[in-house]
Amino acid sequence: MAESGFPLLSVILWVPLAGAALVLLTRGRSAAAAVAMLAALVSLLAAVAMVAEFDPGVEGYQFLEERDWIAALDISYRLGVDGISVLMVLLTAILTPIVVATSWLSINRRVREYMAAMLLLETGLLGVFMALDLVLFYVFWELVLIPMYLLIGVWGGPNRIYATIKFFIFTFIGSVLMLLAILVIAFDAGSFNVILLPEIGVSSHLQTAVFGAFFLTFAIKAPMFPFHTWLPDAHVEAPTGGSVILAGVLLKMGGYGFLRYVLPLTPEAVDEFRVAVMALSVVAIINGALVAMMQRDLKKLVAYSSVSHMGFVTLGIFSQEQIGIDGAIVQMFSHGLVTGALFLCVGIVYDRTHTRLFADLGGFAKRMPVYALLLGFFSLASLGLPMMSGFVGEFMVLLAAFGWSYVAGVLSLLGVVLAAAYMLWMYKRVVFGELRSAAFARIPDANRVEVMALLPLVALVMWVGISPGTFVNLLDTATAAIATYR
Amino acid sequence: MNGSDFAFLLPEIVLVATAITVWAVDFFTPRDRKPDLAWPAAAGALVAMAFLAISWGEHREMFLGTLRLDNFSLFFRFLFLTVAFFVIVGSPGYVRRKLRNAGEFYGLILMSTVGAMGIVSSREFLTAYISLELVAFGFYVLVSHARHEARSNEAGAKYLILGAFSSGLLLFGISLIFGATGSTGYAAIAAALETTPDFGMVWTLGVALVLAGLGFKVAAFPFHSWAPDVYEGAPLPITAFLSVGSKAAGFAFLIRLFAEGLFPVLDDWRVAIGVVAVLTMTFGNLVAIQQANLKRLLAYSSIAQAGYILVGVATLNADTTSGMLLHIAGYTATNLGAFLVVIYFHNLTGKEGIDDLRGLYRRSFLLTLVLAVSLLSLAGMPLFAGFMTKFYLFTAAAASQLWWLIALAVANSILSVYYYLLVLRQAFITPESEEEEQRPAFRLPSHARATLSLLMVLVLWIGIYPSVFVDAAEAGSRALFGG
Amino acid sequence: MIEAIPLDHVVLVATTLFGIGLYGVLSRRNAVAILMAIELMLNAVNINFIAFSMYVSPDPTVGQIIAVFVITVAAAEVALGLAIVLQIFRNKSNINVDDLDLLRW
Repeated sequence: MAESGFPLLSVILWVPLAGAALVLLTRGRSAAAAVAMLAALVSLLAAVAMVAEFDPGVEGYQFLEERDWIAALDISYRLGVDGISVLMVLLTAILTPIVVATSWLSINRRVREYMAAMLLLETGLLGVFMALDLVLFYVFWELVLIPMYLLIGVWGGPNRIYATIKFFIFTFIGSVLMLLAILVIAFDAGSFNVILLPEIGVSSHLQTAVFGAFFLTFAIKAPMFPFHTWLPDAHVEAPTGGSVILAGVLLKMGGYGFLRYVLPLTPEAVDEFRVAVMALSVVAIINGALVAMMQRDLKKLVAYSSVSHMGFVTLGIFSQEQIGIDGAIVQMFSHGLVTGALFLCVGIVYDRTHTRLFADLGGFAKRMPVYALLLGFFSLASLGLPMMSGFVGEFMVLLAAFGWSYVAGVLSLLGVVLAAAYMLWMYKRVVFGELRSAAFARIPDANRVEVMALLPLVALVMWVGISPGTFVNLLDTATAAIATYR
Repeated sequence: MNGSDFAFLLPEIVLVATAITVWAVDFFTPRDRKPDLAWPAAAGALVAMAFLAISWGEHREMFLGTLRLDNFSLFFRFLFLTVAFFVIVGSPGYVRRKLRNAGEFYGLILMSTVGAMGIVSSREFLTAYISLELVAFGFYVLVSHARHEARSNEAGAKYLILGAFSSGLLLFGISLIFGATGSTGYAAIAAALETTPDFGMVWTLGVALVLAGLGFKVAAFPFHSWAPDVYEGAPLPITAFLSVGSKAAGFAFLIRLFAEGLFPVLDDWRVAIGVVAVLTMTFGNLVAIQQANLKRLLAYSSIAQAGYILVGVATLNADTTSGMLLHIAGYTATNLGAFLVVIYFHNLTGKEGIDDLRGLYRRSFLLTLVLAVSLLSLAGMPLFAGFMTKFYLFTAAAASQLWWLIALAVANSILSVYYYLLVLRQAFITPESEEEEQRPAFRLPSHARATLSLLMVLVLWIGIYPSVFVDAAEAGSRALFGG
Repeated sequence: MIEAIPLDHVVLVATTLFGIGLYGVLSRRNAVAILMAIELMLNAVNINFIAFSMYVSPDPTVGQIIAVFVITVAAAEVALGLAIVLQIFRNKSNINVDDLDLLRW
């Protein structure tokens, strides 16, 4: 475990927070956006440096930072990353500046506060992926909720109160359970140290309880069927930027939690409930796809497609095969890029037409050719076209699924087919056909900022699709270790 | 006892002297200057704080063992002085608007503080009881101090009747314990319990009555019914004082009593206290959700907070005592912050409804910020004092393996987030009507800005890097449990 | 010397007195009557202390000292209570606690 002298992780983590404080001091929307952009870019730069410095061959965590925090309870400020966290940190750091850029266009009230909330959210998310102390992890986990609640509540759609309450209740349950699990672990193992905990382990008689609590928390967050019902509502009401982060990164906290805490700490309980969890994952894939197909609202369709795609993630993770876990992580990364981009595309249309209903949309191919091209690209990426990122993760997960059971494999494959159906149908309804309203005859194409925001995502989606090895290599050591906890 | 013992009581002596001086000066002060007597009174509290430093690390028994000055009492004495200081400093604006006899008001706050400081040092029932009455008498007058407001009178009457009633229960309990063990000193009671573990009915009834009496003082379910009405009717600064000072004093009484006197029989009472704790917090939270008045909401939330602290009493040991002290300290800073916001808001608008907070965000960033920090801390959100202190407390309580208790406490504390967020929603999110948008921004006096900022920093300090406070709390707990 | 009254009897009287006071507090609706009932409770306490002090305590003066304190406190309490009740009477011309509509025990 390399102890690095320069606190690189702290820089990545705290620069956004400092940026949030600075943003609150600015006057005017452009100044706020500029400062926010600067902070997000510095954080991204540091994150890229981290990826470059990261040594995939080394076992365990890298860039470790450790400081006493609350000595009385043996709680430390301990940060570190392995291959899994590296990808998640990178994803967060990439999406935030993109969201800042596009929000600069679409948010028109309380811009300062919006940018500050976004940066605070970034710090929370980064912290979740870097923390190597259970209490620190919980702190960041909760820290994510406040800005998310504000983003939906202040800048959300007409039905935002309902959505925030629902969001709150689900996260409330998750937080209770997680805190209880942490207390049980503290009592049982006597440590909050995430590096040491897998070795100490949780006593057999407590494993089911800890597993249950953690599982529900992460399942709500991921979200797994049948705990996903908060997600569509939150998405529909959230502003575009909020949706992008919500789908792009927030959901990954669930998958990350499974990998970092559930599999290593409660292997016996996982063994016991594995079949049920995988069955639920398959149900999520099919159910999410079918429900997505029935949606009349563009944003809801993308939201339900997330449920379906995240089903692959849990399926891969609980296959407990290295290839499945690798696939799950790549799927998380890819889903973050693709769904984030899709929500941006939804936002572009919504900003111009103020509707998301398919009944009102159609015929944008002629009016907005660039936009149609981009939406087409990300739709194909989402349905898992080979050479694009969506394919890689789902393919690896499918391999693992077939290895476990043919039924699961075939059913999951059906999910991929359904994805193709609903995505293409969606594309047809939005882009082709006739314009539904004369008012749309003059809408402008995607502008320069929007295109610039989406292009990096195009590049990354292609990169993951064409050369997945670059990313899987980062993961290998970490996932190999996780696959052994069984 | 010898003359030098009095040096250790200098803080109390300074307070009494300040109170009398303030009362005396009050006679010669013109009416419109009277609210400014807050500054000498607050200065007295600060001087007393400085004198406290003498007792640092000293463990000293005085007056035939009726008083014991140790780190435990030092912790609470410091806490009470802090509370008195902030309550007094936060009052002048309110006093100017509502109250006539300012000198009397400040002096009584100091006297009640002296009483509270006595409670935490006493290790004998009679001394503790007299100190308790000193606190209560001050409060009876303070609560009904807005003489011409019916609400304040009613609150005073109710507080007095229930206070006297609970004193009756407490005293009868003490008399039964005295009958069973032949002593009122905690140490002697513990010694008697060592030789005779079971005194039968008389003893059980005695302890139950003492617990009921103290239950009233800390507003534990089912003895809480006075709290919301009294909190609502009392002058705002006194509500703040009641919700932190008087509550902390009650808990200090309970903790020392159980740690030094009743510890041998604690196991018989753990489950009962745990049930009371759960009922208290659940009731407080559920009713708080329905409140439309900010003051009442804080009243019910402080009932819920008492429930969390009772978890520590139910699982009493050295660690949970540190947890309770820490939580009481964090809660004190937090609740003072919340109440000061309400006080200043009330001074500026004359209102205290949750709906009235609409647009607060635009009108005063500082008030909104301190309100947000305080409420999120009460809700137990990480980064704020409330999370850290509760986490410490519940982690320590986990050793008792009363999992149902801890699970319900955690669930409750997260449930409470809901209604705190409702308040914050008004302040941050709900848009103002056009008419309301014309209202001017608030102008806070600079001392108000300073106190609010100070409390906010304190809440964040305890929440983010609590080592200093943890050390202090553990020192306090060691004074009772040794080690 | 007169034969001592057995402790049981004294405690019985004290407990009965306490019970009467308790009942009075809970059932009376006149604030002054409630204060009087509280006095009964405190007097029961005094009887208890003096009796126990005589029979149980190693130092027979302890209970008597406590009783003196309790009497003093009780007197002060009633003085304060009456002052507040008087204030209410001035504002409302009524000292029925039900009319204070906040006393819902």
